[in-house]
Amino acid sequence: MPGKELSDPCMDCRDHDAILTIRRRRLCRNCYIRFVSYKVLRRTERYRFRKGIPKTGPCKLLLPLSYGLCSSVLLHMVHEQMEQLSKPHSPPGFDLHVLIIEPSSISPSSPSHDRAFESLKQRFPLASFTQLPLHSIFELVPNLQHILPNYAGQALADDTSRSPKERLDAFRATITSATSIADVDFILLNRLVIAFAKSIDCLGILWGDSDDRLAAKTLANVATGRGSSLTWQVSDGMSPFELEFSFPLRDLFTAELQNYAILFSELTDIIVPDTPLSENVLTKNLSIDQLMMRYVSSQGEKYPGVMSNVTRTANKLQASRMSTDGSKCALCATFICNSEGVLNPTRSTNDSPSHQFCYACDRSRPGLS
Amino acid sequence: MRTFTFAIALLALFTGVYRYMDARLEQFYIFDPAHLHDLSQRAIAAHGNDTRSVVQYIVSGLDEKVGTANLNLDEEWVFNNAGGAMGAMYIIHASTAIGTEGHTGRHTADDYFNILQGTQLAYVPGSYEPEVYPQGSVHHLHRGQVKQYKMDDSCFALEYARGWIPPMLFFGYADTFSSTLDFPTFSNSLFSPGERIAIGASGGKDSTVLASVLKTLNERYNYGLDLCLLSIDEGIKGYRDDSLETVKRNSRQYEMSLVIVGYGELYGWTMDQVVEQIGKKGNCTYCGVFRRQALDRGAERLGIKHVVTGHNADDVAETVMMNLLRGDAPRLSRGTSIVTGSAASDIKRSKPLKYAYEKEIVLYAHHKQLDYFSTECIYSPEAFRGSARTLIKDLEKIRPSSILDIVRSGEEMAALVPIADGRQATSAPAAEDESAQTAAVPLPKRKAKQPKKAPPAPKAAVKKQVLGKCERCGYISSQPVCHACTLLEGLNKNRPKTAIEMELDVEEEESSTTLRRQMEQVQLTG
Repeated sequence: MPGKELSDPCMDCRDHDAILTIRRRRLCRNCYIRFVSYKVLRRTERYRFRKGIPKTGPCKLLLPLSYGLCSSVLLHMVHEQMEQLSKPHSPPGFDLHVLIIEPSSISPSSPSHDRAFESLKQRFPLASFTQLPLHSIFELVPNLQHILPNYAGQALADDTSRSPKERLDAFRATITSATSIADVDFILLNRLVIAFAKSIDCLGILWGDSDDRLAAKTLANVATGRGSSLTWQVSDGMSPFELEFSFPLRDLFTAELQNYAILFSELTDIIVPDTPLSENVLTKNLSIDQLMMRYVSSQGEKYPGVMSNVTRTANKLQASRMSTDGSKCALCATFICNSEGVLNPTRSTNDSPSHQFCYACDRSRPGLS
Repeated sequence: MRTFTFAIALLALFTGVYRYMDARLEQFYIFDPAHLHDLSQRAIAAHGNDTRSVVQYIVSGLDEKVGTANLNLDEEWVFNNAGGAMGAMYIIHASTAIGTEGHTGRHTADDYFNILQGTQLAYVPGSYEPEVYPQGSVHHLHRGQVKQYKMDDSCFALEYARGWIPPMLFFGYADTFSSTLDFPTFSNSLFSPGERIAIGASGGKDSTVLASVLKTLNERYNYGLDLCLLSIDEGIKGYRDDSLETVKRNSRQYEMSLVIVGYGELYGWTMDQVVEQIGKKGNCTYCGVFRRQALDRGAERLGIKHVVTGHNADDVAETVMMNLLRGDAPRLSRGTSIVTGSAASDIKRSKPLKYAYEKEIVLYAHHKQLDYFSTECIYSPEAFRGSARTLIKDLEKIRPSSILDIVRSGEEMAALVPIADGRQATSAPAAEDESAQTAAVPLPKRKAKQPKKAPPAPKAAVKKQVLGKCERCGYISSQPVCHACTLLEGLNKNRPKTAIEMELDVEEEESSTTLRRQMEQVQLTG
């Protein structure tokens, strides 16, 4: 084709100048978007073509959105897929519901993001949206009202006359170490998302964790004694909550998602950037979660590939092999693993179900962390 | 029998590097519980919830009454990890600012907790209500009684123990040895009476502590074990020869017989020679594979079926992380079990110190003034393992229990690893019946000419992982030629062979935090 001299042609189409490098390939804008989207497209096949799911009737999926980079990009990509699916003669596809847990109800320092909520609805018309505060967990998971005081023990003077928000804040204030705060907050968010998904009859949940995020999550779970929960925390498939979990961004790195987000101005409006972790924070003041994020990003540079190993190893674990007597942890609602040869701390055996906590939840209890 | 000893202390100070010192104080009974209770109540009345003042009031009160000779007036704090509970001890009391919970331990002394601030809860098996001890009260834990106890945030107590104190120190220092893993039960699951046990001894702190603890327990609880020491001499000058001197001294100190098995005599190659040939890179693979067989052969020479090694909780945690990072699921399933049988040999291995923090072991070794050797192996470690070790140390700073939490996670994951190749991948001791006796067939030495071409083995046997014997040395192997012989062949041909494929059974490269750093234990696991 004469008349066109490209100094740095895209390695895929050769028609445009490359703007980005991904996995040692120089690509133009469109090819980059196609490359990244394809990684997610592959992961949503089951729902797009309803493989192993009834072809007719509703197929509702929930996408929890935190206004963070990963979940926003995932929403964008999945919505693109839905636009393709809405064309005539396309496969039945799925319905998407987006749940936002008000950031200001999780951390008072987060700004209320109401304007973004409105623009989301306009930008992604094929999905439906719900916004809930964290303390609505008391409505969706009513028995948590009894469990939380049991869990906090003497550290919490629970006052049932107070508002749900005040009660939840009082409970969360009893937990003091950074690691335990992160741990318990994650459990609360998780339970709220699951309860909501069930309340609107979802088939599964699409989580927005990227490859490195999953690696850090795996390591953090192991380091907090949650080895057996890896089967649903980082693996696709049926979770113990009777919902299918899937992690469509598992083949993409956060940096690649960042590049994708920059290409769409509507995304940059929605995304609340993560506050970068200061280098000056003493290690002992980090949470285990943050330490693992730091480890994954620093070691991931030195030993590329190792971090995806971590997630892949975790995916080899089979939940069906877990030996349990069927008892569930009152707080995190997962089965308590009591395999032979597993370290179990001294505990009284006459606990009622609302007093029974798994090893890892026990570790995060107020006063123990 | 009214000789009573009053005790104590060890302190761990954290200033970048933690140091510890030992201050020991022996006296007859000096305090009486009534006076302490009275003093506590007066202190609380005077200073309320200002714990620092309460403590000072008590110290000065005691000072008046009994004189400074019996009190440590410097505010020295001890880090105490006992019964799964963690607290810090000012020399005269037990306390915690953040709350703790655990097992009281079964003590040989009466223990009086004068609660200065906060509330202590105790639970006695069989009752349905907790015992509550509010501020100002005394919780008297009778000699020999066991309770679960809990101290909430900012609970401080003046603890006074009256009775035979030294055994309580054991509880204090060595949580896992003596409290959480209730000894008789623990030992029954690991050892049987009359069993002959070889302690894999390297002269380092872990194996020295293991030898000391096993000897103590064996005598105290009449386990009836016949203990001896087994050392591997890798043939590393300037490192192993020194540490073996320590083992020889230990052998005399503990009155245990010692057998040393050398790579030189077994394989015709010392590690010094191996490194000379292949360089430092990848030499740990040779060492690991050789050590595994050497331990078995050494045990066999002694006619022993059970080898115990000094791997501690930090080592096991590091192994879990490493196996996760390098994506090795089968090893993940085996690395954490306390007893491992191996398909490759009929010799059982176990890690009695699996639940003991490295710090506890250091404290114990220091407290008992054990004679041990600490130096890093001169053929040093891989950088990547170093990063895993740093990670564990960082985790420990954030949450000290995370080391045991990783061990727990490892145990949980072990149960979830799918069965591979028709072999049971559980942590249970595997395949003891399958393994034939490893007859002591001489290994090929360097000088001994080996037939260059082995008859081709049927491929099916390789695939199915059928256990057979190595056709060279007779060691149990799933391949026609065992891993050690394959490596040896490479060495003998002057052709370095560094690439090691991961095979299910051949060797187990168990990591050890200390292995390359202070190298003291014998590499292990099956």
